[in-house]
Amino acid sequence: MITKDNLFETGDRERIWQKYCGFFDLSLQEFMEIQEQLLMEQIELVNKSPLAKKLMPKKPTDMAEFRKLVPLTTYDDYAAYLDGKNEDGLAAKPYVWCHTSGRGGTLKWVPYSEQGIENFVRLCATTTILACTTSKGEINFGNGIRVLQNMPPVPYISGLTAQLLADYFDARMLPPCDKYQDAKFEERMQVGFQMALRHGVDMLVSLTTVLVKMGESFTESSGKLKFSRRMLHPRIMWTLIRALLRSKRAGRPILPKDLWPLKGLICYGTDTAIYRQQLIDYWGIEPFETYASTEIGVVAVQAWNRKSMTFVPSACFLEFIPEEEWHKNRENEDYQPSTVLLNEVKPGERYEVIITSFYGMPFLRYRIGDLIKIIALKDEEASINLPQMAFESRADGIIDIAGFARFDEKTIWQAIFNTGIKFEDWSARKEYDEDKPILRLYIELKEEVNVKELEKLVHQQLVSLNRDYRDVDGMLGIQALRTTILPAGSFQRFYDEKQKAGLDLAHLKPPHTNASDAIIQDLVKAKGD
Amino acid sequence: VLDRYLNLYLLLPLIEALFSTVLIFIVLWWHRQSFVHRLFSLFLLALTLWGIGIFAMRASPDLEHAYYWERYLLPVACFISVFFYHFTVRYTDTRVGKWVLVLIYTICVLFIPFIFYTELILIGMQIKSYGYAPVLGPATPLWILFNYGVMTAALVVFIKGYRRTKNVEQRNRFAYIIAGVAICFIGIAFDILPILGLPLYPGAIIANICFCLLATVAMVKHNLLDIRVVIRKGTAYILTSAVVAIPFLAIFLLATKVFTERAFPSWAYFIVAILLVLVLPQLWQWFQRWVDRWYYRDRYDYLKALENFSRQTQSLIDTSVLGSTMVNLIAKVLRSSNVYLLQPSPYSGDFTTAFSTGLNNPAPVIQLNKGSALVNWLERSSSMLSHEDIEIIPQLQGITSKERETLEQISTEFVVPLKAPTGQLAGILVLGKKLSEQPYSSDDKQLIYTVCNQMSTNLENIRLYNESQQEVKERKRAEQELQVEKNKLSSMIDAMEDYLTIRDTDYNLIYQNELTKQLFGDRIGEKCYRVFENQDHVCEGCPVEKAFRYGNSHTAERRGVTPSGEIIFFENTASPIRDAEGNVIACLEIARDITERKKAEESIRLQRAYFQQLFDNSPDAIVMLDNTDRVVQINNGFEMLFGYQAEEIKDRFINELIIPEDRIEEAAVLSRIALDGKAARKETVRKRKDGGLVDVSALGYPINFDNKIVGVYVIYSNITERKQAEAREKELQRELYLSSRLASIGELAAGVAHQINNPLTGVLGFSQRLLRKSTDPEANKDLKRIYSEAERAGKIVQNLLTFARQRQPYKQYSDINKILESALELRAYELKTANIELVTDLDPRLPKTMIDYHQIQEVFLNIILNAEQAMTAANGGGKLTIKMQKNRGYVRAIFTDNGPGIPLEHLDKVFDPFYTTKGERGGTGLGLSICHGIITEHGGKIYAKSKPDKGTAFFIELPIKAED
Repeated sequence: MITKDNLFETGDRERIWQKYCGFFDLSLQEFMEIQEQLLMEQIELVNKSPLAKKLMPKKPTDMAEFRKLVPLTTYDDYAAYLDGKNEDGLAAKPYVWCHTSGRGGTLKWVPYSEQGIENFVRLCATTTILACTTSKGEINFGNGIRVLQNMPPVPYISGLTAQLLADYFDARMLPPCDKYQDAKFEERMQVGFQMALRHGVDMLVSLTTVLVKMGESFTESSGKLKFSRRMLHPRIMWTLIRALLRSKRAGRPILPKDLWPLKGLICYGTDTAIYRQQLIDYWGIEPFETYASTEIGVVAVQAWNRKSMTFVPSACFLEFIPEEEWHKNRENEDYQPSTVLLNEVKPGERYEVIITSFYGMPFLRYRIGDLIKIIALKDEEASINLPQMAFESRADGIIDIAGFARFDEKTIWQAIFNTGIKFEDWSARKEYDEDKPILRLYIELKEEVNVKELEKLVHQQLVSLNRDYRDVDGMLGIQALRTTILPAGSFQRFYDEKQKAGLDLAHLKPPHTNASDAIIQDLVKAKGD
Repeated sequence: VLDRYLNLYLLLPLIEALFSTVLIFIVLWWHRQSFVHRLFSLFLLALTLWGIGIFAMRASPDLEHAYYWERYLLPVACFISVFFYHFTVRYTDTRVGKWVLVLIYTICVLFIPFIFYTELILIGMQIKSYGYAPVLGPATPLWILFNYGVMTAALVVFIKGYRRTKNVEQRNRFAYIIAGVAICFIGIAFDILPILGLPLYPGAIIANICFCLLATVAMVKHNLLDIRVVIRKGTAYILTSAVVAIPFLAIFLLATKVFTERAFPSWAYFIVAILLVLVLPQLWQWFQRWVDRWYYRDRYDYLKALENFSRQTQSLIDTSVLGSTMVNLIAKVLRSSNVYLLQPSPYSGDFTTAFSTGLNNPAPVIQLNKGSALVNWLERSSSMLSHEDIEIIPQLQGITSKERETLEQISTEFVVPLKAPTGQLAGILVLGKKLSEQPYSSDDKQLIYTVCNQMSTNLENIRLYNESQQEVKERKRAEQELQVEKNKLSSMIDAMEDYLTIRDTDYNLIYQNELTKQLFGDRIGEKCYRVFENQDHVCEGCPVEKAFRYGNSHTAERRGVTPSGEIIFFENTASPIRDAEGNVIACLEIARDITERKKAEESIRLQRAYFQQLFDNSPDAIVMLDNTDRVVQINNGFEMLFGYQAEEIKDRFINELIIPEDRIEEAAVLSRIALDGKAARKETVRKRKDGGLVDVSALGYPINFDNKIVGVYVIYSNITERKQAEAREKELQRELYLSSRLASIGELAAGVAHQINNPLTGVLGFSQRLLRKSTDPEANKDLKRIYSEAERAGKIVQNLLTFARQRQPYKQYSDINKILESALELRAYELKTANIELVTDLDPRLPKTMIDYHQIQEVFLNIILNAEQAMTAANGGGKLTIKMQKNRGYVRAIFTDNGPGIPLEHLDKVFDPFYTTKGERGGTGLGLSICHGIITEHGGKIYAKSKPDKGTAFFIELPIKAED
């Protein structure tokens, strides 16, 4: 049972910080000790469950034996039990079942134990505290914090987060979770922002792209306000006047930051790093990043200085597949890649993240499917002596051109962005041109540009951003980029069609990299029509 | 009366100012850098100024002077409330927007011009029954409201803090401050109400004094602003010294007075001095105790308890008594619901309940595992851990749910490490809640600390004591064990069946066991060589002599004669005996009677010799294998048959050596049969070292040792010759069969051909004639068919006749290469057009031989034609390789094609007459039969090898014969 944490009522900032953010002060050795202790407890909790027995033929006596004994797993190894919400295979009756959208549209069900959900809420509180502060030890909110959110509803984990936080420190959710749980995404968004105009907002939790779109729409409408009857409410009027004054003082149109001065901004979606500057420009505050997944909850968070992310010791047992091993495994599925622990990672290297649940939850040596980069072994600015990471991409989101050059979403976005050409959205993937691998960019523009001209500009940017691509270009003389300009409205049409088809939020937008043939076909359909 | 009132009226503000000033000094003395302390000092400074201002106002000679001072007092009052509010906010860590503070400071400052330059707040002064009082202006209520408002806000902050804190000390501090503020509220009301006409004495100054008193108590008793120690110690010592000084001074004054009146003898001074020396320290101590009791009333019981504990534990050397004393003491003094003392298990290192007391009966067993987060933390930290800390300290995130549940189950309030002076975690004290459900105070914690420290030291002492006791016990036990061992050894030596003697470095016997005595008598003191071998000098090869010389053990077999004259054999082992410095001082010799063993060994040696002869000289190859098929031993026959030397194959797997790859499974089966205890027999093929294969009969037997099969021996008999003979016989039988079949078929064919030839001539002639005559195209077509088929039949008949009439060859001395070349010339065009690549590998050194040129050419043509047809039909072309070579008196021609090959089951039939695979393509099935006949007639051999889908090879071997 998740109950309110009375510590917030005492106002004892030092202890609140210690409880929720104290892990930043851990040494790497202490971090690893916690990992080992919780792993051994996890083994104790799950070793008799049928699901764990399938993967762990005998009970390991230590961390090394566990890593040797249990193979790396994927959701397929659990699907037989989890897809049908079959609780017989689990170590304990789950407290709640959540699901993720899954990459291919197939839902992944995840059972959360009571202890697991308690830890998850605790980490959500950590996230809230850190999102609302820019200095160590500062607790910048109290009970009754107003959180504007448009997270997908339960049983999505993010929806559950909103509900739990509301109970945990009397957070006021805008719009209220229970009332608008079944409402459409757009409706929830609309109601939420309207309520925020009237009641104000301390923290905003939203999909990155939604926030960027909002900012863009403000910019494009040149900050002109369309007055309506609803605005006649005194508090809304006051908010608007204040925003107007702020924007006038800054000599620019009204931006969201004028309407809603925020304490914290949490963005979800893998593209937060890409839109970081835009988010700051529009919302007036640096977005707070976390690394989380439905299968495990919050895995890493940024510190107060908003640099790289730090792993949380109590989230899950962490292992990492070095990039070289990851490639070997990609080339040969039968190859079992070796893993390293957090105290063995090297700065500047990329790794695939492997997690093992704690608190009796089911995942053992589970390939979460994400690539991260270890930025440094410590953050000297923040005095954090733990390895610092940044999310790189989904493991299946890397586009590999003939083994010569690899592109992630961020690089491609940066290249397009740097051209200065206004675009609606894009999607890129590897295709073949007479047996030669190429990088095909599908892009919808907001302005008229010749396809050759666009291709040339993006190519130049890619050359400057990606050394390997530069090599392909320079050494082999191959221009691997091909561009397809999509007709205006293609992405919106795609979105509408998917929404009509009843797809959930995660699948309304085509992925930026490695979209399937079906998705690309749907996207370019309009062109052929 | 008026004077008396006036004095008190004036004195009170001075007392207040003095009090505040002293507090400023105390507050700033230790923490002058702290912002909170500075804020509180500012507040006290404002209070001091207020007191001084009030005094000045009250002491003013007239209304004008009073008005002058009153104008200063009103802003100061504002600052008192504002500073106090600011202090409150910072002290309680309350989140307040900066603008709030800026606002109230601004308002406070804004009041100043209104007070000084307008009459909105203060109009003037008036005289009341108690003295001067201000005449309030129209805006005075605002000023009052502001001050009351700010003070109320401060009060609310403290009340909130009081409610949320769980710390008893903090609560008490807040309670005192809240009481002080409340009194101030009343006091201010008493200042204001008389101005409004109510007959009250102004009370703000008294309220401020009360506030200062309460703040002092909060500081002293409950450590407000961490200044308790300074004040406590200072006041305690001042008070004690003052109390002691009073009688001393009294006596001094009395003595001075008395001495001035009457003279005292000088000894009286000494007596007084001695009395003072004796009494004053006692008095000082008595007062000290009294002051302590007064100041530390709440701690006094603890101190006494500690004293008792300390006294009791000084003499304790038993952990169990110490542990139970400790848990009982803490439970009793602190009134804890449960107290547990956990100690490490000597085996696992896990901490488990050793002693407990409290409500839980029976007390649950608590176990904290070694290496767990909690134990790790306690090992590193020396501070006690509250149950809230467990949730808060990040290092404790690894604590398991089981441990958490255990601690919750016993309502754990504190976990305290007991650290040995070495820093090692000697135990863990777990405290439940207080029976009163109240939290533990800091004094309670202090007591726990002190007891734990004492306990840790005692535990360590006990450990050291126990260790030393253990050492003594162990030494005693070792001595006893040594004695027992000594006795055992003595008994064993006497009971042993060996002859044991000890001799000194001069070879004198110094010890004999019973057996030696029985055989040789008691000969202690005599030279050993004389006793045992009846010699006058040290025996040759004596192991004792070597042991003395080289300082280590030596063994030697000796031959001896018993006193009865019987010859016996000994195995003597001599070992040097050394003193503490390592010098050899004697030698122990154990002589074992090995006469029987010697005889047995002799017998074994003989048997082994028999066996070895048999093994070595066996004509068959014999190999001994262990139960993993590794070679243990081979005989000469094996070396000869397989070409391996014993040393090169020892310990190697037999499978790697002589088993051909395709026989490994068969060998494994044989090995398994033998290892199952049965004999295994098989005629098979084995591989020689040079790679050649040899036909063998293998016979494997298990080797039993102690009813266990420890290996296998295999006898290989070379059956190559037998096999070759069998093959030859088989070949001959086949040849015979073929010859007789060919002969009978030949006769039959000749008869049939003869009979068919005549009518066939008729068919051919008449069909030709009819063709010439007929003009009907349909009929012509049929006639042509008749003619061609008849022609084909004629050809078959010709062949039959050829086959039947096989003539004797006309042999000439010919070059076989040339015959092949001529045959190839004949087919060159066809081969080329059929897209067949021809590769020839002729040997120019091939000798000439006696052969029928035309017959051999026919054979070659036949085989080339067959190959050509097979490849064309199957693949539309191919490759024909012809190789000529000389081989042991034969010329061999090999025709290899890469056509479809011949199925293995048909390979034996290819030379049978009428066997054909060409079907309607026109084969008669006689070609290869004819070839076979020709080559056989030449004394040669023709045979074929084929792999389906790979091709066929025909081998023709003709004997090399010199020209007649």
